[in-house]
Amino acid sequence: MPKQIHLQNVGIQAKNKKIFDHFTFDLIEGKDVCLVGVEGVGKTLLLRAILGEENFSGDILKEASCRGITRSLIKIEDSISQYLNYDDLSDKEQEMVNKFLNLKSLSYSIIKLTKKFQLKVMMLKQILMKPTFFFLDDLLYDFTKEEKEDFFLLCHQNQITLFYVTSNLEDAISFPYLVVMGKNGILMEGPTLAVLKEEKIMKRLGFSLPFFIDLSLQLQSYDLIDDIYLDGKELTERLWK
Amino acid sequence: MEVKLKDFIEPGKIVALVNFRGSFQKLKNNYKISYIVDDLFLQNISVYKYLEKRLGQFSKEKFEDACRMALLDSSILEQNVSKLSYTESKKLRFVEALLLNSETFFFVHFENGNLFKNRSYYQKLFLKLIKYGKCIILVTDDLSFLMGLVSSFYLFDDTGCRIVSDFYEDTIYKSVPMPFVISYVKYLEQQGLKIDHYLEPKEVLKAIYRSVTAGERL
Repeated sequence: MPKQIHLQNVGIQAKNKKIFDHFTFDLIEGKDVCLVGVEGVGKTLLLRAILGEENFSGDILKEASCRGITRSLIKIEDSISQYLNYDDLSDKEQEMVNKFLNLKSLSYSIIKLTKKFQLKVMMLKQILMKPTFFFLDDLLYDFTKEEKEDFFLLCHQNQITLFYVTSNLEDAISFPYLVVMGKNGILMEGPTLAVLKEEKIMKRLGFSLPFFIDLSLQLQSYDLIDDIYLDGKELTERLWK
Repeated sequence: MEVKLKDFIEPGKIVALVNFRGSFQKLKNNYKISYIVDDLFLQNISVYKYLEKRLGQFSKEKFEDACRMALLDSSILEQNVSKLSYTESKKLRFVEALLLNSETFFFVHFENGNLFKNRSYYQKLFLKLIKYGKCIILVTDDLSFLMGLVSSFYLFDDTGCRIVSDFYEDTIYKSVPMPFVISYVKYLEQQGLKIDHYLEPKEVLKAIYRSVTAGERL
């Protein structure tokens, strides 16, 4: 039976002002989720509530271990090697660290690393604790597409279910399930493509649809295609061949 | 690489620095430069108190106006600065810069974390600010944010620093991600289709429509 995290009517207030409320959702082991929402709706606070870093109303019932990152800056003078207890890791874990960081040395002090590498080290630290669920705030905007995919793959290889917050819908395509958060709970949720097809709602919220989804929807409105294509090659073949 | 910021200051212009990984010699305050970066605030005080301490000469209404201009809800004045998100922290720094009436606004990855509609708003706001003689310096790797804002930018790479005025130049993309609109047009060119080097997705859409309805084939 897959483990779950149940969120029931979760809400957060700050100084008598509602940030959000009525957030009800079940995270299921093995089903990665991407969460988007307009600025200020409380996405980071929701993550912090799940991780026990923020007061909230409602219920959060956890059947499994959770780890997460909501801030990317750490002021630690340790070396990468010390911070990750590298010498105590198994060969497989050491290989994972070396591959993911791809640095010449692990003796660099963390405080001297760029924000991106600090974040990578923090991710590894959390992943090495083998949580069932991993929560990551919108911190990957410095990452290339390949680096993001490396991270998602790392989670899958370690049987970690990912709950990822982003403002970039291009990232959402990598996830099977998408949740759009509003001030009064969830505005929309479902298989990612189905949610992204709600073009009018997404654009009204202020989002820019992923490029090929947007292009496909526009081309559909001109009756040039009858489906949504996620990559240029398939779209091109459909249009011109 | 350390560069001299004053070499890039041009009043009435937007200057973009792409793939910059070095550091700047920060200039003294008499140059009236505001740095808008995504560092978090650590103080345990409200946004209002923070602004009052930094810029006490302004009224609460002025603070609220500046917040709205930077796309922050004025209710943020009641929030604790240490609880602000990265995006909110950046916007708060923008609020300070607006209130200080800085001559140069120096943004570091400002567009990150912002929704599309807000990015469009900021683009228009920057274009307005330069009409008042301000200089906007943008450090960014997101060329899609620059398209429509600047016709050229400074690119930092292994060869040093150079001006690039063609967003379709291949060498740019050894170091920064290629915007989807450019990568798709290049892909179509490789397939033998003639599509102009558009920067706007809607222009690419029109070009595709013209090509397909004209019966062109690969």
